[in-house]
Amino acid sequence: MTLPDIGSQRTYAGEYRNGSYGFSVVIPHGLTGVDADNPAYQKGFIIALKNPERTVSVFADTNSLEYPDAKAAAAGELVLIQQGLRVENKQIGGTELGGQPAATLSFQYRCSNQESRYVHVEIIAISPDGQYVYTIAWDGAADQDRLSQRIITGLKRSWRYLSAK
Amino acid sequence: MTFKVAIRLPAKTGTANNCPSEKQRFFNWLADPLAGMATDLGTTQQLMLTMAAKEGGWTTAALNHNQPLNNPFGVNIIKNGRAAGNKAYPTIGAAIQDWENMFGPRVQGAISPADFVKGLLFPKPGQGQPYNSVNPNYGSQFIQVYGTVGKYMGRCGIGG
Repeated sequence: MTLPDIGSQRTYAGEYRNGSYGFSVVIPHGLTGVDADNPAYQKGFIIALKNPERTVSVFADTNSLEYPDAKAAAAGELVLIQQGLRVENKQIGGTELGGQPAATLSFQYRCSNQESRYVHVEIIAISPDGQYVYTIAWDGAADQDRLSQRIITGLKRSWRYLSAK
Repeated sequence: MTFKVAIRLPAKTGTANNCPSEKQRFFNWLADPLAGMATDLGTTQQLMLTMAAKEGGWTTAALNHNQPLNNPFGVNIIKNGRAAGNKAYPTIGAAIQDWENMFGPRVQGAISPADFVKGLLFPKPGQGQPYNSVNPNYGSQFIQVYGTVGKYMGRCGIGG
């Protein structure tokens, strides 16, 4: 998995606030979030890392699949992921995000035509009113997950829910 | 010269069996205007309803949020590159026109959900930036919502 070519970009550093999807988070010092310049939506960002095979993404979306809670969202997302990717060692667990119940989803996978094994770690939460799904996700080589822990911990600690306008 | 002809079946005003009240509300609000939009774009009513369900939402909370704004697609206000709430449109027609101006050419003529998503996510030269850069499951989520919209269209008596 590599950082996609997203053409014209928006960039973010430090505190990131999203008034449409109701959350804020602090991008760890020294890192930059980027997003495509979509004229209609701004849902989150991918953190640009030196190694483009590692990606961290933070985004929200409408809960259009009507997941009742975070664990159901994690299970539903795993089903969708497995439609296009063969995964191993999959696990769903519990955590919290911004003081609300959240779920963790992790698994390992191989990209087609590649020997390297990758790990995917994801935190999923549902907004208190059930309207939005929030995701913090990390993908990278399976033997390099210290960086993911540091970045995800920083994002998770700083997470706040806002009132969506 | 070609003419586009569409048969529009009106949204029912009552609650059909097995049609949840919030889905009936969603269809009462959008079935007719998005049928017209689909005709304009040469696509289908189900695909445009899916777009509204996917982006704006179709739960009671989502409808309470977006219906007073006349904003079925949940289009954001973007200030200095940041999302600052959802746009308020004077009419549903204005919201439809705005969406058509931004994304209409990308989905023109799309009949299947796969073609519709491909048009959004992989714009042709001159059609702007990729629609989504952060959610790797956008396409599969859209296709799943499409199936659910079809199920509720049947239950709620929408379409053919």
